[in-house]
Amino acid sequence: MGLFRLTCYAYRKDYHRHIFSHPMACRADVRHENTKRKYNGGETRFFRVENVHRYFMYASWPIIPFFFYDVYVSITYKGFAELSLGSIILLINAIFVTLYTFSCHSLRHVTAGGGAECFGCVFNQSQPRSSARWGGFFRFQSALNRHHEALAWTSLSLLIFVDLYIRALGVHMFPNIILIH
Amino acid sequence: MPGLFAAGEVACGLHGGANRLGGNSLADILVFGKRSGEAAAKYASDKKIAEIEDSEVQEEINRVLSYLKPGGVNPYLLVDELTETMSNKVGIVRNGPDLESALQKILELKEEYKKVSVPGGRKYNHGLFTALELGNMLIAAEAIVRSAIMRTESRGAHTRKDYPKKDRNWLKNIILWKEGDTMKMDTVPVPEMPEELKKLVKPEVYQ
Amino acid sequence: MADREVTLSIFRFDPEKDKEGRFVDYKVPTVEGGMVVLDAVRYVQEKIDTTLAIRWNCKAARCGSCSAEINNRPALMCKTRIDTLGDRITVAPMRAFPVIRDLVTDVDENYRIMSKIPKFTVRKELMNPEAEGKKHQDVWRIQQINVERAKEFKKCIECFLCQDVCHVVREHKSGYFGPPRHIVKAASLDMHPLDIVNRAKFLNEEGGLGYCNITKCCQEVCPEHIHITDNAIIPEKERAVDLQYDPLMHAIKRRLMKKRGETVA
Repeated sequence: MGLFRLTCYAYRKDYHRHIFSHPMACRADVRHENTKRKYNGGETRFFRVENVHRYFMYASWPIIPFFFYDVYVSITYKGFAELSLGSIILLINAIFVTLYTFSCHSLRHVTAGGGAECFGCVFNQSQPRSSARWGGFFRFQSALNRHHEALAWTSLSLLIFVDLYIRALGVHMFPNIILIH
Repeated sequence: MPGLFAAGEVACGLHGGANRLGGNSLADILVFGKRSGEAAAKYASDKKIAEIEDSEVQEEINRVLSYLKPGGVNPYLLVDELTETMSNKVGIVRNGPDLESALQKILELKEEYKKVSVPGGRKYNHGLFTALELGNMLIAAEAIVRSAIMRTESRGAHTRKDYPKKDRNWLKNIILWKEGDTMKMDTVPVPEMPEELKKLVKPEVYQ
Repeated sequence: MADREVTLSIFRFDPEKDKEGRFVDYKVPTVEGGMVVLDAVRYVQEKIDTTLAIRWNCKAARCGSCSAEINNRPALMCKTRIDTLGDRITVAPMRAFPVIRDLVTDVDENYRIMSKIPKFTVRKELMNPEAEGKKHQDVWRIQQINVERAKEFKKCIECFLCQDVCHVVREHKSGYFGPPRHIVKAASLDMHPLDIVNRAKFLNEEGGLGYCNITKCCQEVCPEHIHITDNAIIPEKERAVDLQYDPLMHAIKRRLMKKRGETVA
C-alpha cells in the first residue's frame, strides 16, 4: 500500500516539487540559467521504479476488503449489532481508500482503455453495444480519475486520523459514542 | 491583369450583391475558390515564371527601408485618426456632408503620411509594418469613401440618409483605377440576371 | 475598477545591438477594467516606443502568438487581465527559447521536433473497405468517445507555454521532447481510431518520456485547459510501460496489436 502511494502519479507531483525541487516552482523566477544543479534524471534512473506502479496497485487490492471487514467487526464485536461513531468513521475511511485505489491512472489505463486505440472500432463493431458500455466505463473512470489527487490527500489524512482515533478509543481516552443500539 | 486569380469577397461579390455581411462570401470562397484554384493551376502549368529585374527589387527594398529613420510622424497616431474618421463618418448609415469631410480628412492624412517614418532596425519592427500598411489603408479608405459619395442611392449594406431609396439607374458597379497620383473612377453596368434566376427571386430584389 | 496607472517592466533585447537583455520601465496611465496585458504592451508600442517588438494576432486566446512570462509566470498576454495583477508588472519573453528581439522568441525548434514524430498512418483496410466486405461509410465512422478523447488535444493552439514552463526543458537540457505539440500530438495520433502506429516506445526511447516526473506545471499554465499530464503524458507513459516494463501486459498487448494490425514505431 505504501509503495502504491509512493509511486502514485498524484503524489509524484508533490514529492518531486517539494522534496527534490525539480522543479522548484512553475514560476520562472527560480530559473537557473547557469545552473550546476544536476537533474536526477526524472524517471529514467532511480525513479524508473515508478513504471511498475500498476503492480503495486494490484498488490493493494487484497487489502481493501479488510477495511470493510473492520467496519463489520466494529458493528458486531460485542455479539450484537451496535452502530457507533467509530464505525461510521471507519466506513468513510474505507470508502475513500477504495475510491482512491480505483481512481488510479494505471487502472484507468489497464482496464478502461487508456491503452485502447479506440473504443468500438470498426473492427469490434460486431458488438456495438458492449463497446458503448466500454466507452461509458472509460468516461466513468476518467471522472473518478480527475479527483485522484484530492482523493489521495483526503484518504491519507483520514487514514492517519482513523488510526489515532481507534488507538485513543483502545486506551479509553474518551468513550465511543453509540448511535444505534 | 493576366495571371491574377481571385475568389470570395475580392472577386466582385458575385452572389452577395451589395450585401456585404460577414460570412456571406463563404459560399463564394468555396465555389469560386475551387474553380479559380483549378484554373490557376492549369494556367501556371504552361507558363514560365516571369523574370524580375534586380533593379525593380532594389527599388522596392529602398522604398520599404525609406521609412526607417528617426524623427518622423508616428504611423500609429495616423492609424488611430484614420480608424476614428472611418468609424464615425463612413459607418453603415452615411450621408453626403460626412462623406465629404471624411474624404478631406483622408487627403490630409495622405499628405501627413509622406512624413511618416519609424526608428529601429529591420528585424521584427512592428512600426515598419504599420507604416507600410498605413499606405494601403489610406488607398482602400479613399476608394471606399469616393465610391460611397458617387453612389447616390441606398442598396444592401450601403445606406445613405440623403438618398434612402434604391435606384434602378444604379444597377452598376463602380470601378476605380490609378492615374498618376490621383484616383479615377467610372461605372460599368451589372450584367443582367439570367432568366432562370429571375424566376427564383422577386423582381424588387434585383431591381 | 477605477482608472489607475501601472508600471510595465518590459524585457528589451536586440541581438544586433545589445549583448544582454535588460528590463525597461514604462508607465501606462488610465488602466480600465477588463484591460489585458497585451493592451498595455500595445499602448507602450504605439505611444511610447514604436521599436518594441511583440508578436500577436487575434487577442482572443486563439492564435497562441502572444505567449510571454508575465510576472515570471508563463501566460498569454491577451488572456491575463491587469486587474488581477499588482501595479508593477514584469513582461519577459519565453526564456526557454532563443529571443529574436524583445518579446519575440524563435519557436522553430518545436516544429523541427514535431516532424520527427511518426506520421499518421491509416489502417490499410480503410483504404479499400469493399475488399473486406464492409461498407465505406461504416468503416470510417468514429465513436463519440473517440472524438471526445482526441478533441481535447486538438484544442492546442501551439502557444508553447507548457514547453516554456517545463523544468526539464528549461533547466536541464536533457533532450526531452517536452509536453506541448509533441507528447500531446503523439497522444492524439495514438488515440486516433484510424491510426495503426503505437508511438509510446519511440517517445520513451527517443523522446525522453522518462525525464518527465509528472509535476503538472504544464497542465497548470495551459490556456486551453488541456489535461496535458493526466490525459496525454500519463497514458503515454502507461503505454510505454505496457511495451517495455510489464511482461504480462506486453504479452496481451502484442496479441491485440497483431490482431488489429498495429505496429510499434
